[in-house]
Amino acid sequence: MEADSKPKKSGARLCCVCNQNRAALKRPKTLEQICRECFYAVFEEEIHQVILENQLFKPGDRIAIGASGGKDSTVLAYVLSELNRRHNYGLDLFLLSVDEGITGYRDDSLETVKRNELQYGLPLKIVSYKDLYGWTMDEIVKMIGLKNNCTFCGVFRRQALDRGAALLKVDKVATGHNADDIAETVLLNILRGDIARLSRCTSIITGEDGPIPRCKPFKCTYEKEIVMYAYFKKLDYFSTECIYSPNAYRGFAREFIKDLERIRPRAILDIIKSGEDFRISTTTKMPEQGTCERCGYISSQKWCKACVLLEGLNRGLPKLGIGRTQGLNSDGKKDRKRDSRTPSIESKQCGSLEF
Amino acid sequence: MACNSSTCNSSGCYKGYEEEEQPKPNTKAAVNGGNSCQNLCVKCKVNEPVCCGIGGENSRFCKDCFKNNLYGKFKQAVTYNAMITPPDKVLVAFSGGPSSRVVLQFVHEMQYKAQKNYDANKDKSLPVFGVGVAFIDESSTHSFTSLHIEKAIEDIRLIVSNLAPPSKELFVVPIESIFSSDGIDGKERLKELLDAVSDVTGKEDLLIRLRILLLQKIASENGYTRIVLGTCTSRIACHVISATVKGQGYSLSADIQYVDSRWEIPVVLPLRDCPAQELNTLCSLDGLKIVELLNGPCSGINGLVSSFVKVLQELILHRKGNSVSSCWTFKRRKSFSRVHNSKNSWEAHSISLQQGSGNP
Repeated sequence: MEADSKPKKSGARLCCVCNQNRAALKRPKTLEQICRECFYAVFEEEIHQVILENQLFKPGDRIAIGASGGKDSTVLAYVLSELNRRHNYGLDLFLLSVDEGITGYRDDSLETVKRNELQYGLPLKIVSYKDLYGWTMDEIVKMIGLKNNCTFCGVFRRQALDRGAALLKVDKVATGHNADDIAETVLLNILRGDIARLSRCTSIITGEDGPIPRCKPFKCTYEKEIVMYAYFKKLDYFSTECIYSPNAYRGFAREFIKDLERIRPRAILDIIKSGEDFRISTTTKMPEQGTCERCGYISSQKWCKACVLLEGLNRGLPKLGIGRTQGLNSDGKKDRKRDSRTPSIESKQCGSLEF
Repeated sequence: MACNSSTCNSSGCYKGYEEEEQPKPNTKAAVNGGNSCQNLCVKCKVNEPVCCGIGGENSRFCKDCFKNNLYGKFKQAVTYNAMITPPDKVLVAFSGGPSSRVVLQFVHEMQYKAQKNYDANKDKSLPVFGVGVAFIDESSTHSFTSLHIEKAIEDIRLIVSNLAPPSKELFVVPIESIFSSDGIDGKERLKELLDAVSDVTGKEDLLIRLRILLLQKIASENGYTRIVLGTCTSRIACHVISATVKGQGYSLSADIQYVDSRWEIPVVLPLRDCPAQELNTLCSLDGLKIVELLNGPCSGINGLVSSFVKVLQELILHRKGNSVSSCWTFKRRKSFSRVHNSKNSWEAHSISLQQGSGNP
């Protein structure tokens, strides 16, 4: 069904679900005319169904919600606590936030998260790059410039979330990655020819064999609907883009997907479905999982990516670990600088292209 | 990222990242010698270069080497995948555009060489494969003037008759003959069918499907054993994205193989490794006539995808700076080369990336 083939009628239309209230908005996913209450209901119900069908949680689980203060994580915190209460999931929910040390961006969004802690009554834990690695993103960008900074941030954040989750002693981490994010990731992995990641990036639960599994309850939720929900419910969130992101490659994929959504809204879910359905040759070599020699984190190489990057920073070699050149793990072997991290951990707004 | 061929020597062929870091002695010398102008073809180092391959400044070829390079890719695809064997009769789908013109030319040259060998050989054991050409007249779905389409058909007849000996049968078939009844009824039924689809993208995809079904019909009614399409790397790249976007991920791996044996008459893509840009260049270099039937730009999702692919090509060129690897790398990646080969089993078709199979 194409968006531009529907004629616009004037006059009040009724909500297509309850047929009683006046339709207040058009649902981005299905283009249905719907009233506010029915929109909240269908939005929350769809997420509830995703949680049930994929058995994301079990009673008694301690769940850390990756909270950045942005719309996705705020809505996730809100909806999860609401559904937890309404359907008796029996979960212990926490907010886990990562401070990358980006002035003018992260310090403001952290204030939002602190407010969320009070608003939703969920205990908050903040872990910072400075404490964990000895470097803030500002310092990193000063050293390496604006080209591959998203790589550093994404890799470090993944570990930071795991460390924070371990400190909180939780069973799972829930992140606010939405359908648009996953569709962009599928597309990016295709463009980069990254077959290994392609086969993993559509999973709703990842890292089950790692320290702490992660799940994405918003896998089938459109970004536009999350924005709409947050807006109508007047939820408190921080809506500025990361100041270091403009050069990211992901932006092109995002533009493309936005144009696509205008022509055919289903396309976003179709991309995810395609990603799930790709048949990958069994002869494709996938990275094997081991542990990092330096820090014990999971890694497919001798050192995990974070350790490699950190070593580069500390030695003043900003290109170490970037791209596919020989690095610390060489020893004469032509290893690929790929650890076993999934693309879900990369910053949602950006991700630079590694050639 | 390794090239398909271990013997490929062209500079335009990208053999792996490590090689990119080391300066190539021949090109470096030439570049050091002057400004961007290179004086010799990078392949034979004898003639003057007249054109660039996909590698940009570092792959300037003379006319012969350029053509041999492209023909070499074609020949390799045909041989490696057993696309055309002596007892076959192949039907070349000809749209008039540069890719189908080149594939027709190459198939003809292959047939011509086979014929010469046959004539020279006292044995006469291996027959020469037969070649036919099919052109689908879609004027009933577009607003061409009848003069325009008649001129186009005349041009095509001329092209095909000039490609003899060996002579090739030409089929000019209107799209509405996909319906079994006669022409007049067919036009109405086609119009009805297309009008029933309100989605622009869906309509385009339906037409593409009808085209291949009609080719199947022509081939099976006339005893052809293979259908040859001129699908090039660029088109494959667009197909990878558009299939993903339409939720066709499951069939994608089968769609982009060299040989598609899901059909009754297998469909082969010998130009799968050739970029559109090089095919265009070859047509102008060799004076290969193209019959441009302007179907209008694709709209909807298909049009969006091809502009996206163009944008990415330019982006990679721009960002990487060094254009040796950029475009070719992008297209190589997009082409998802096959590792596992099983022609008759649908389920065994699979995606793999040459690069991803462990080669640094």
